[in-house]
Amino acid sequence: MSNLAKLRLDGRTAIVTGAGRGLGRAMAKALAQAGARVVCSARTQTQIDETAAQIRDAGGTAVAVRCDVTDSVQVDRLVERSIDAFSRLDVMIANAGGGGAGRGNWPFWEFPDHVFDSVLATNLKSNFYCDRAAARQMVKQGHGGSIVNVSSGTALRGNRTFAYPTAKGGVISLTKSAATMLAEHDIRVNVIVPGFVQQRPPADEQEAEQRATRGARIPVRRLGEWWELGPLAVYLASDASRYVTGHSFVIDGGGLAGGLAPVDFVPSTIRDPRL
Amino acid sequence: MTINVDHYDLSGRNAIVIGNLQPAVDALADAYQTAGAMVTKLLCHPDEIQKRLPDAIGAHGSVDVLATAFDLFHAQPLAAIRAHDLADVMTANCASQLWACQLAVAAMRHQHHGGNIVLLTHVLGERGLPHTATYSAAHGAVHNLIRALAQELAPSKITINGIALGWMDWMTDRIDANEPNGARALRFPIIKRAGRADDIGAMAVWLSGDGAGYVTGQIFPLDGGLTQHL
Repeated sequence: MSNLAKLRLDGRTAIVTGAGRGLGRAMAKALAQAGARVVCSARTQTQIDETAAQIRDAGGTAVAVRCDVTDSVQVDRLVERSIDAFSRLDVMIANAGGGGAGRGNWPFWEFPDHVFDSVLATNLKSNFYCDRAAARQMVKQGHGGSIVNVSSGTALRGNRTFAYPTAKGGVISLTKSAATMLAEHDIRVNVIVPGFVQQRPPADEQEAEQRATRGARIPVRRLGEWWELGPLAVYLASDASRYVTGHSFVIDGGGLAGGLAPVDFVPSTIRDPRL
Repeated sequence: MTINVDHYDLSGRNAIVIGNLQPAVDALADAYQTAGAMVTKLLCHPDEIQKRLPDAIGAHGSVDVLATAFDLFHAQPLAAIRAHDLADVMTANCASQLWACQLAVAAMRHQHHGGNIVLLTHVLGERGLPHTATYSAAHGAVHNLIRALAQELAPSKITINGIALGWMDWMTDRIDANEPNGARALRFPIIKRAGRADDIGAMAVWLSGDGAGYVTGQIFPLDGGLTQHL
């Protein structure tokens, strides 16, 4: 089989959570382009209907299944309904999450329980529920599978949004442990770690300028674009990555490799100590 | 066992501090002395290790603690790097520390009670900046030198660890505080200041005492949080 053929997902079924917009929608479309039948899931029905319709319009196969990933009963139902639709599950992209609630202005010592709990429910427990439900089905089927979690570059560094990077750090640990526990069932678990990636094209010129300003602080001098997670998701979902499990895939324009100084800072040899 | 100051007590130990990085060499020697060690301070060029380190070990008859602090920063764009630039930077920052370990380990093994080695390195060993290809590569090599030697030396009861410096206040060879981006770089640590020589000693003493006997093969950033925030 050629290397490109290994990237094909024909005959496979993939669930993508958070598929109503942004990175999730982009990954759902990429998996569909690679041949997968995609279950597009999120809380907002109209948005997942739109993603599924876009996939079908492009000749792919997709259904929309509404699910709140903070509720494990709904996540288990999501897997059941995916089996109802496509008879098997091969790929789980546990992408749903969000940092909004964590962006409060509390000092650390006043950070409220309910916000911390809510951010962990959305960004960490949700991944556990999705991974668990997918693994249960994949073990039952007996022919393995690929689980892909989505974390955040903030997980690898401290950040004032606090609860969000805390939860996303947990997703990386979850990935490693789940990979260890599921390898004997030929189920691989990896995690995508996006840096600053735009969820959609800028709405207007002002937003484009704001993004350009933020992008200038990144080594490649731009923010990532929504579609750029797609090729990585396809790789991790497919047989092209058969020997890859437990690992983090950072996609951040080089930001985490640097960060010791402003991006424009170029040290010069002010005096050559050899002279 | 209760934790007590004995774990930081280096009384009766022979400690050798060797390097060309004077602020760090001085700080390490002072700290070891304060902790009770008999300290030999060798401020020397990497070329002098093969001569001066065996002399120092011979003079005391043993070495319990070795700390090295070699550093040579040379920034160049990729296209400008010549073979001798790379060789100089690799030799001064990395090979120097390897040769010092080789000599000290021979003596430590002979003593049968092991020893503790601390290498000073830089967080550029795990991160990049433009024009630091040689320096970052050299310190990346030091980081893995530590991990590899930890495996090799553990059966001989020798621990080896690294202290990775961030922006230190003497690093005027690489950061011009009068230049706007240089000043911003110096405020990049979570603790908004450059490190000072007196920040180093306590960690080196901990890593050289009985309190750290189960710690080996690790590189500890001493960088004011520089590498741990977005």
